[in-house]
Amino acid sequence: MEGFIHSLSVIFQPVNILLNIAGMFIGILFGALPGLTATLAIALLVPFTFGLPPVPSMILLLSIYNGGMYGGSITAVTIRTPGAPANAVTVLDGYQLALQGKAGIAISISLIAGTIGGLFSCLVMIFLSPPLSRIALKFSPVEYFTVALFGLSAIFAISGRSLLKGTISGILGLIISTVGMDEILPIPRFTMGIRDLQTGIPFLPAVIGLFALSEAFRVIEKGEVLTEITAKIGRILPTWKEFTGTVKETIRGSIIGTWIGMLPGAGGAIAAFMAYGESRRASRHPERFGKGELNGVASPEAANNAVTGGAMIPMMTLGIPGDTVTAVLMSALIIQGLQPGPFLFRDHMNVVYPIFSAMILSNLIMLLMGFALLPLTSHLAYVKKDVLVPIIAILGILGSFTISGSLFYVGIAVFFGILGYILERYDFPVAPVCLALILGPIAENSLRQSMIMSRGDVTIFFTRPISLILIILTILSVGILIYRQKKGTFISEG
Amino acid sequence: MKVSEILASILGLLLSIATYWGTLYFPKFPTPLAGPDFFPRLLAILLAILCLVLLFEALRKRKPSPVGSAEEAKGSKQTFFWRVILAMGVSILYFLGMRVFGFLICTFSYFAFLMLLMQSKKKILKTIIWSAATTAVTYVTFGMVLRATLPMGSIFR
Repeated sequence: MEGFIHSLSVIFQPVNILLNIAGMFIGILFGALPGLTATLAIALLVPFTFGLPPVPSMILLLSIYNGGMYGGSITAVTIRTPGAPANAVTVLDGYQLALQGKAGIAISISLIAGTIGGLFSCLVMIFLSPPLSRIALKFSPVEYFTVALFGLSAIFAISGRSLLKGTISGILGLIISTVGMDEILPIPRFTMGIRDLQTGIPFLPAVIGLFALSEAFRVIEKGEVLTEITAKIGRILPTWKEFTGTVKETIRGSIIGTWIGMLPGAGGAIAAFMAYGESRRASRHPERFGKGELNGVASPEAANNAVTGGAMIPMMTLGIPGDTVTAVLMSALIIQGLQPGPFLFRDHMNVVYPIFSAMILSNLIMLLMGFALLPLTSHLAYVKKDVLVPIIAILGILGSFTISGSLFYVGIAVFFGILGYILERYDFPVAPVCLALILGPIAENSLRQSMIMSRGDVTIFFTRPISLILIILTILSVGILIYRQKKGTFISEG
Repeated sequence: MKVSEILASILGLLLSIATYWGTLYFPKFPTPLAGPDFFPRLLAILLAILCLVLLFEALRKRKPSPVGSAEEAKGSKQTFFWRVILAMGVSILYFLGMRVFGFLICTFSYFAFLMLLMQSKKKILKTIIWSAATTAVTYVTFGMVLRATLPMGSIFR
């Protein structure tokens, strides 16, 4: 408790509040611009955080994460275009409300519900993370391999329209992750004589290429597109009755979102769709859903914001990111010299508590800034792409250069930009490549260490209880996803 | 039958063969499942199996899938594939040219080229102003604030 109180003095330092506000602004902006995501904003901004100490850099990145989740709902309501997949279901009722002249109320409810969802998941994260990290301290490579395997099962969830193509993308990412010097025997693998490749494929330039440059190439292919806003913003603040009418579904969405966030790869879109479905099922008037029901906005928006805290739990306590955003956040921590996982809780509580507190503050800032910027942000779709795309490309390339001051990193970003564009053009999702790049080395090294420990006996994974449970969970989650895709009820983050 | 999927599966098969081939040159390890060749070899086999499934599915398809790729959407939506090829080429040139011509010239030219590529009606003055402003802002941010050693170009030495 003492550490938590101390963390408040850290996050309320003027610089940290400014970083929180700046991050929130960037997050809302990127979230609201269709096609741009919080992941892209975080990947672009990570190189800027090198000069900052760990806590301020995480404050900036986490507020982008939160802001991005909310920002996507603005264009979902005003122009029927979700800023991110997590806001897709908000279109159903949000746009109907906008057509009724209630776009302002719909966005406000999304903002309030998102804040409640975010705060709820932060509390769960704060209470659940320390005990989970204490359990994780007892993990051996055997458990780590099965945790990584469970994390890799997220590839199926972020596979987009085709599980087969998503899995191929994931395996491609895993193969790429084996490039570099072997960690057990000092021999180079697949380096093709290029000395820079001996340290492996650098994660951040690869992610910048996969998300930022490939997105720039995609927009260039589509050409200059401007969307007209047809909806009226109208009244901004909801009435007390309108607000209280959404509280129950906001709580429902928050619980679903936090739970889904903790599962690998499930993410905001699945949480939002599940919350919407549950709210509709529980409603006395399900026929109102899809026709401008406020609960149809509150529930999914609470859920997708609640995913943020939930997704941070496995990343912080086990060092296993469940999705692309947390993978990039994890790399930002690693660059700062902090390895996410149980040892972070044992050795760096001075960093962990401020991160937790910053997430709470970030949600409150989101509420204030969301209301303050609402009249402005609703016009974000007017941002001209002929300026935005070159800015993204330049920031991506220069960001990659800043990481090490080496043009090799720029080359990696450009290579992955082209690779990402080609993959997506032919319906191979890039998110599995990204997840595999960060989980691949963890999975391989723990697998090999386990094999050395057991002298090649694979039954070691089935004789330890935690490892066995994780294998069963992995099989179950993959099985359910395959079943749901066959049944046609598959919702994907990709 | 989707030509793009057939091509992708063949490329995937070639990659899996190359990966497997590469592992043959790795030294042997006392515990075979813990050697440097085990994991990439396993991945190469998995990739080959999945690519064969993709190839089989692509060959089995009689007509294009309703959930199609960008290739199939070409008829309904106008796309500018040539622009992407140009943008990719210029991105590679930007990366290669920075060492020779330096950050300032390359960034200005790269930004201006991408802007012009995006515009249906070319706005030269706007492009020049934005390119100059962005180059200046990025130079100050990266070169002065973040203190990155930006390449000044070998021709100016």
